[in-house]
Amino acid sequence: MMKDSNGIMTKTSEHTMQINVGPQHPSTHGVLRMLVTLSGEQIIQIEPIIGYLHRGMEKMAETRTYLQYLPIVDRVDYLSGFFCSYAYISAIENLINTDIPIKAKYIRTLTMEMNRISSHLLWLGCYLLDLGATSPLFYTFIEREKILNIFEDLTGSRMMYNYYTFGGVKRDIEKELLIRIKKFSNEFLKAVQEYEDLITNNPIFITRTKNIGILSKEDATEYSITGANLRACGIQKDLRKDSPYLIYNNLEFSVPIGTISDSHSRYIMRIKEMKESNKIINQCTDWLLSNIEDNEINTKINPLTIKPNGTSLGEVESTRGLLQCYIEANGTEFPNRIKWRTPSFYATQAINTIAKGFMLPDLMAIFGSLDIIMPEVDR
Amino acid sequence: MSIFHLIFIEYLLKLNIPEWLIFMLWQIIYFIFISLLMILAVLFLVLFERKYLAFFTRRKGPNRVGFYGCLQTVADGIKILFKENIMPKNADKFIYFVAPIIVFAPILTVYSLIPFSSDINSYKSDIGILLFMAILSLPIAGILFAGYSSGNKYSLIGGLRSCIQAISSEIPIFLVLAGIVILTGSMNLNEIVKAQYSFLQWNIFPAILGFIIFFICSLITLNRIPFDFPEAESELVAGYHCEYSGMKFAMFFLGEYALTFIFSTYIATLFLGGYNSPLGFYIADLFDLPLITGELIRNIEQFFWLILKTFLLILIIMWIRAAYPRFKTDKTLELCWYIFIPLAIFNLFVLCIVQYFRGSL
Amino acid sequence: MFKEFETKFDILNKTIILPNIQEFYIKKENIKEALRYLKNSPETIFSRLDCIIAKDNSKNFTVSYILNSDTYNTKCAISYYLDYEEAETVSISDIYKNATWDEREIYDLYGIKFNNHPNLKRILLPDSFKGNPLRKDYIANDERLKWNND
Repeated sequence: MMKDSNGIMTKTSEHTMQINVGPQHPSTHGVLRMLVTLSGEQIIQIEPIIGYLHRGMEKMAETRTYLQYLPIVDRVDYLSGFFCSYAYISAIENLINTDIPIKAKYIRTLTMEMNRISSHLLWLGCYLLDLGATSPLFYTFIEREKILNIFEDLTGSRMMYNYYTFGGVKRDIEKELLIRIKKFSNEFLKAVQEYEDLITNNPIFITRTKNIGILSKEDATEYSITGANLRACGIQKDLRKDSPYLIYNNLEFSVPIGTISDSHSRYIMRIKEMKESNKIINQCTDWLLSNIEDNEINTKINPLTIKPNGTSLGEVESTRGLLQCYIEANGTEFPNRIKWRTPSFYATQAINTIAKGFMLPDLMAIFGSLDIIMPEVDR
Repeated sequence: MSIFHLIFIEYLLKLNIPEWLIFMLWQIIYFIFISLLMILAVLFLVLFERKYLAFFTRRKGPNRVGFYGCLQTVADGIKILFKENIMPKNADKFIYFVAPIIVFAPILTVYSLIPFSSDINSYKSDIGILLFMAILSLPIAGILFAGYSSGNKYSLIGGLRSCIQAISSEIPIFLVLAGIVILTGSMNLNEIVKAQYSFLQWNIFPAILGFIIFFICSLITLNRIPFDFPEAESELVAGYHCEYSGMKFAMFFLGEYALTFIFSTYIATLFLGGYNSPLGFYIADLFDLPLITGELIRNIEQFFWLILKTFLLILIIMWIRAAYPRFKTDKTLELCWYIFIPLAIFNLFVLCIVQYFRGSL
Repeated sequence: MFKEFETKFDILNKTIILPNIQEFYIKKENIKEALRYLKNSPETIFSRLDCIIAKDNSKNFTVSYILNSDTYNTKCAISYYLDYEEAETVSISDIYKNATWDEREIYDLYGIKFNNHPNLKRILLPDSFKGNPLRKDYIANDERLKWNND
């Protein structure tokens, strides 16, 4: 008899072996450690152990002003920094009650959706690498590189952007860049088609992922799993549709939904999401190109002097699901409490429920498909 | 006995060298040939695979050492020679030490069984076809030893997986081999090659099903993607050679590539007519050359054809590596036992019928 | 939506978390029933717990549960105060499974004990860490940080 992470007793026979997957392991995407109990190659239970990348994001906030904390925010999830920025900034914009100019809204939407694509592309490559295919990683990085180059020209940084500011964005987007984005989004559809040709109907990929790691609707709700992992179960829940922020009301896009959340359908969800994001990018660039002479990208607030009061919750549908930033301000320049609610934290928690009973090779197929990123779990 | 052998004996007898020494010297020449061939093949294959995969993934591959990176493998080899030899604390020391040798030595041995041309064949065994597979079942024991003795759970799982897949893949392989023996009427690899003297006589045409089964099973034997479970890096870190470093690791690494090469030659010998020219004639025969020169050029030509066929097979193996993800152990067992064994028996049946009608013609 | 809830449980205070989330302060003893009620009552059906937030107000703690309703597409927050010295409350991991790790995190960073928790131990920090860093009385670079040396 042994206890798992949630203390549930499971009966084990004598012929079991405990194996330590991580923290240094090629496919734990960073520093997750999983204590896996195996019987043969069958997984009896998994105990995820986290904290190897804990940087004390929430403690850091106590000694920094709102502006000083801003660059750190991108590091909460280094693959989708814009989302973290947005969650934090929208919380503060609620507190100081500003409305941001329409162009800034479009730019924010555009960058966030591009960020979603770049993050999904990295996930796709790494997921296939987990399954043993090396080539897709390089193919996805070709497209990702284009996005990162655009981001570099726009924000000055490839991953830690620090681009949003209270009441808008820091720099205007230029016409050449918009044309480049337009070109990228046209090429991108072809690239996605290429990935699909290579992967989706690959018989080995299907055997590896179909009916592997099934996440039931009940478990998904109980464990508060969000994002593509949840939508693959068939629950329509996307903050962009449920309570549209920015300009998602004006945009035409659909939220892909699956039926059974197994590894394969989680993969399909992300592929479809990339296509939808591409549509949004197209619409945003069209609007920005037609309003190129509009120069208002920022409401002039002095970020040094903001001393908000009250509590606020900034929410965003990030790449991995619902990302929340809770801020309690006490009227000084330092926040009283900042709390990050990160989707990967809850997905990691559910891994025992999802992967129990499958084989050891399936663990990588399941873990990879959940799109867990460690800095977000450990903060 | 080939003409070169006769010349060699005659020349050395003139120098008053005893006969037993001449016999040994002739074998030493073979040994040098085989070792050189293996080293060159491995050096080339490692570089070739990296370049080929780089081509697939739109990269350049190694291009710093030597002309277009041609010395990269040599540089890697030298580096690995100077690496520290680390032995885990709770390793079973003797087995840990012996395992790489058990893996490597049989692979070098089977090089002597393959007829590289009509005259280059160091050991013309009458049961060559069986001996080849029999010797090649030894490295699996070595991998199991390595997995067990490292004192690492990942290695242990890797070793066990290798054992499982060897057991399941060898039965279809031997069933296909039985078909080849029926087709050619011999277990001698030389005779098998000679029976496939023309393009249409190649064993692949009647035994196309057997060829496919044999090819996939050989991927399992070679631990190549999509069947590289014993060393599945995303699951088992590095599998059975997890705890090996320096020269011991190099032995596993070289062994793997040497095995890929020799197994491809074996497949080419069995199915693709071995060293026979697909053109139906040799360039040497077109010209009126003196006997010895003609024989020499013919042998080189035959060697070239065999290497060409081998590389075509290796190309396919590497292509598969670039395109496919890894399969699963349990699914591989299902594949071998439920699909390949019945198909291989069916293949045997078909070949019996083919051979019956061939005999009556 | 919350009318019946408000009559059923003593609401100490009602605030708003910006932009539009209602926050109810209730008594500490009622928390389990309140959450169970909110989860199961057909009027609310807060089927998921987004997160648990603990705060140090220098004299007491606040523990807030952000609930999310798939059916009605709303959120609400249920909060209660916790005495500084006592720092002990009840675990809700049998109502919402994902509370397990949230409570471990709060235990780790604030030192609040959750009774009946299945596996209450540190989650983000190492087991040998001394102190609870998110408490306001936690001073960095004091001797408790020397855990790393032994």
